[in-house]
Amino acid sequence: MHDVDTAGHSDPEALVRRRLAERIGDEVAYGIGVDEPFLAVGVDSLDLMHVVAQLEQDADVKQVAEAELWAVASSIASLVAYISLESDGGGDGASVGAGEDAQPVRPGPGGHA
Amino acid sequence: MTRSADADGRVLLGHAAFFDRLRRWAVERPTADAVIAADGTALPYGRLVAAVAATSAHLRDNGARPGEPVAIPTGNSVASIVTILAAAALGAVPLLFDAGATEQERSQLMRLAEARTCVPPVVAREPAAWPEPPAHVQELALVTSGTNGLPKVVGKHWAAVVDNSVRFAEVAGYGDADRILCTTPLHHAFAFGVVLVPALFTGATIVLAPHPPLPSALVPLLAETRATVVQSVPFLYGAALETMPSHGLPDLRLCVSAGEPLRPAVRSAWLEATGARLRDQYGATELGQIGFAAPDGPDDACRLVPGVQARTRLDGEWSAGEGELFVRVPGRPSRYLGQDELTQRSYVDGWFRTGDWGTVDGSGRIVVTGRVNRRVVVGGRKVDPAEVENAVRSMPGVRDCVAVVGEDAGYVAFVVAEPDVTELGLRRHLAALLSSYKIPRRLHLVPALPRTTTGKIRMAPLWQGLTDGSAT
Repeated sequence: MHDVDTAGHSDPEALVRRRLAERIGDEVAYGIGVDEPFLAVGVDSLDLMHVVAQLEQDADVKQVAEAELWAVASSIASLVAYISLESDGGGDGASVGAGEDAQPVRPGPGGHA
Repeated sequence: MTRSADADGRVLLGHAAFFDRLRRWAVERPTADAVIAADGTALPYGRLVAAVAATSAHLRDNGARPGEPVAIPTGNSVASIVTILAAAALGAVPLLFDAGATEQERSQLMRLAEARTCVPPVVAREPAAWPEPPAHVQELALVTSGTNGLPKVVGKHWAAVVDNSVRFAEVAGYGDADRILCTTPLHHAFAFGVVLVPALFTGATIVLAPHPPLPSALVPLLAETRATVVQSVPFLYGAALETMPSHGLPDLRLCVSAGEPLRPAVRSAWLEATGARLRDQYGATELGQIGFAAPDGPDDACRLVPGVQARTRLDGEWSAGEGELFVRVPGRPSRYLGQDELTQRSYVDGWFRTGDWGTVDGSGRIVVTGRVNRRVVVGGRKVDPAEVENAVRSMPGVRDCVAVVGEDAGYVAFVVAEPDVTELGLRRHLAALLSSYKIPRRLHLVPALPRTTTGKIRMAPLWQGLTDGSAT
């Protein structure tokens, strides 16, 4: 994972998973692979809209490049890319994880924002 | 050609009136924009009508026939609009469904409608003459959720759809200078009856937002397209407020909201930010637009759209006070394709059972206060819990399930399953069967569903389990 500071969040993937967990629970948010499509686990667009809106605040997104939700929120990786692009001045933001086999670390008690 | 009339004998606008009007715009205002896509490309009325004629010929060459259903996986795109209109102009029955539907959902819908042809949206280029006017009754088919585990494919007559949509357009004051932003799926009755049909009939411009939209993109889209009318749902209005510019949206004059109740805070903040009032629309796939909030009326009430009649029923008798809302609209009643018995059960003395609870008074003021059946609304989209529970139970290892909406927890399911069943595994299973919006936000694994002596599920202990952590 590349090291991007996203408005004070040093690990954008952890931030994305945390915001997702707040909406749809830990098991899905920390169990889904970084590149696994949200559609493959039935995450609803409405939940993703909430997550994106929260992440935009977290990452201080000011300029929206895309108008379609799935363009920026199809997977953990695409969400990380979206908020990373905003904070790193337009870097590729694409290589954000080690692939679906990577096992994300579930936060301990009190690990949620 | 079949003509329909309302209870007063007034001949209704229908299929022919709609397409005559569309072709008139192509002659009189050929360069006026009919549709603007999310990527900014525009299709003026002249080219729209040419594209519809060409695509009708294309559909006919690919098996579409007058009177027969043509399934169209619909997205918010110019091609979807052209294909829907082309199928209808040909006299076929456009069956609109979500382009993101699963294979199982699509097969089920096509089986109910007895549709043999499914065509992806297309814009044909080969010039063709306008198709011959169809000689039989013209229908279209829209999909909505059921309450019995099966979706409903609603067969609607164009005369009922066009007449109701035009009446709505009159109440809403649509005109050819309007630019109407559509933010909900075109295959839903809300967008079809509030945007597609009335906009094209009045010569307005349809502006298509991508679906689903990025909430933060909505306000820029409204500003860039200088939309005068926006059609959306409460959640998106609330989200859009976050990115509202200080100068508001000076072109916006009308904001139509439907699907679920508006929170007072969103209503007042929107008015303050834009100067335009959010106005509730009450509708149903089977009926079209039933009610619309008056410009200066109370926030919790709608006025019946002209031509629409409503009454209430309580304990099996027509009543004057609060009760189940029954409605009828001009034109032939809609029907459920492939479910004749359900169609019969849905009408009492010619009045359609809405499944909503509420009041209606002699002045045409209608207030919806709740639901009679189990169908739930998730972000403005209707979901049949029975369909979802059936899908959950089809997962090996699952023993029991209930899908419900809680005041705080939102749309969730409680599932009793073998220890090797996980929430993530269950979600992967459901994603292959159901559209994402039907899948509960959380699938809570519980040891058992507590029941009363009559077998009814006791929800209180399940909700308590979420609080004390005994549900995972």
